[in-house]
Amino acid sequence: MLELNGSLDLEHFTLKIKLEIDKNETVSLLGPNGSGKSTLLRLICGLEKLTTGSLRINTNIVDSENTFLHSRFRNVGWVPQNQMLFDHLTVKQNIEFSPNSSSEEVSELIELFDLEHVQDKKAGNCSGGESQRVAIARAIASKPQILLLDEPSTGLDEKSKQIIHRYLKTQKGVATLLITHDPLEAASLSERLIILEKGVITQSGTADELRNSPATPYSASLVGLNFVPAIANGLVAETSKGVELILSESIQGPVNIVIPPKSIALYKEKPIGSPRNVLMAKILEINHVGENVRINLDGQLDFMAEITNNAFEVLNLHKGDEVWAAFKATELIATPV
Amino acid sequence: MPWSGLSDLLGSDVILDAFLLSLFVSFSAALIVFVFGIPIAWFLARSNFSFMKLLRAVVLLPMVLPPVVGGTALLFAFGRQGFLGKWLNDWFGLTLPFTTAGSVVAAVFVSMPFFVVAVESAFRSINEDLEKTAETLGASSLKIFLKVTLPRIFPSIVAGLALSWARALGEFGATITFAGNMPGETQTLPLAIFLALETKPEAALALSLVMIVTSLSILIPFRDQWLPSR
Repeated sequence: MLELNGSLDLEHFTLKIKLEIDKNETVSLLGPNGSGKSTLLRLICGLEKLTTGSLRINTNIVDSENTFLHSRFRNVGWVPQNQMLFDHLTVKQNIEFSPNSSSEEVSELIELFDLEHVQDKKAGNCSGGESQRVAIARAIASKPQILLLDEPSTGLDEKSKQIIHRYLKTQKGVATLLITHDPLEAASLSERLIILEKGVITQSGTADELRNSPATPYSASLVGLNFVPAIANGLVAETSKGVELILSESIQGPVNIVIPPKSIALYKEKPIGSPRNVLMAKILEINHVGENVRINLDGQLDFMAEITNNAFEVLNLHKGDEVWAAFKATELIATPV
Repeated sequence: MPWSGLSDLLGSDVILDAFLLSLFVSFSAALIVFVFGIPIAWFLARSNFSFMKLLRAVVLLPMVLPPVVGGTALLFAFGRQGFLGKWLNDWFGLTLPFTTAGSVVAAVFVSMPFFVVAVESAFRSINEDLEKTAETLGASSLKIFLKVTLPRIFPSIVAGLALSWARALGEFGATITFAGNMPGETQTLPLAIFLALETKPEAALALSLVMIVTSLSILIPFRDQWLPSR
């Protein structure tokens, strides 16, 4: 359905993307702010032109060195981050704005997105959640082949979020690319997750794959894991800051080391005994999460530990305290790069 | 202060003629400004033409020039021997200087910038993504302009029109230079006031009163459009 292989020069970096999305497929796009996610959407709907390479939608090349199909003819539904509703028109007039819309489908969408009671309200007077539902319904009413959603549920009320999620889970026949900052949302709505960092796709796979082997510190932070790139030499890996970590298996060369926060134990005094990785660190931040406490540490490595409330109380930890963090070699996951 | 003669003065032919002519000239000018001003404002706001700064300055020039300089420029351009006037005369038998049409041209010349400035900034204030979103929905440029862009800038169009109409109504220097001061043909209210001041000062006062009332009755309804009330 969509096939993109090309690049676009931006101010600070080059967006360089190879991406395919099938009909019926929903793909989530995650990445830090300013990594080029929104620009990628603009590129697909025809508001930016590729510097090199080509973009194919269905069987047509819509953007290449010598072709450029105007966004009007691309049949791509774009829901920008700030919705861009036509404030002076009513909700209904917004949804039926596209010349491709049909009146039956417009009424269906109004019902589906629970907008009956506001359909004659000026779009400019809608709440944030209503606006987002109108924007998505308006894009869908244009009968797109590809739907591009830029953070559709960021900052929305629970009800709007549910309505939007329900629609996205049941829709058929539209290739969907969804920008989100929420890995849980990505996992529930899409088969495939793509991580975009500084214009480059750094990881692509299912939510499980991402959870089991994050490829970059960003991917690891998304799924709540610590990530340390290092150079391994047998059973010892050395990080760029010169910290030595003990591995359970012998590896040679560059490795990505993942440390699950729950495997880290904290001590006030330096623990003695078994062959463990022991590092000194300062407590930067303390966050209570249900039964557990997440503690951000700063020291020879920047990482996060997750301990139980009980342990937290026994240790009597405070922000700014120096602690010893220890974890077993068997709990590190070292993946050769 | 001879207020007693006010009603007689206001009813006199000279004043009535000047009043009607002023209305005709100012509203004709506003219409022309509206028709040509929107494309000019759009072009200034949206084009990346390399001489844009120069062009914008030229469009704004009548705002800062003494109107008499504008009138002189118009006379040189549209006079019988002027490069445009000669052409108009030869091809269409049309003469502008010292005619009602000339008064309208002078009024358009001085009032156009007020409209263009208001509308250009309105065009600029529209987030271009709004129009681009409409494009991705498959709408034609005409539909986008009429249904998305125009309603957004409508308040500025109204405000700009009121301002430029007011400027046209008060126009004096360019008109007297380019169109002269002929009762019933080019003698608008400001010109009649100027003339009356020499001969019948009380008539000048009466005419001034008429102008003030006319201006206020048009400007008050539109006041909120360019000076948002609290």
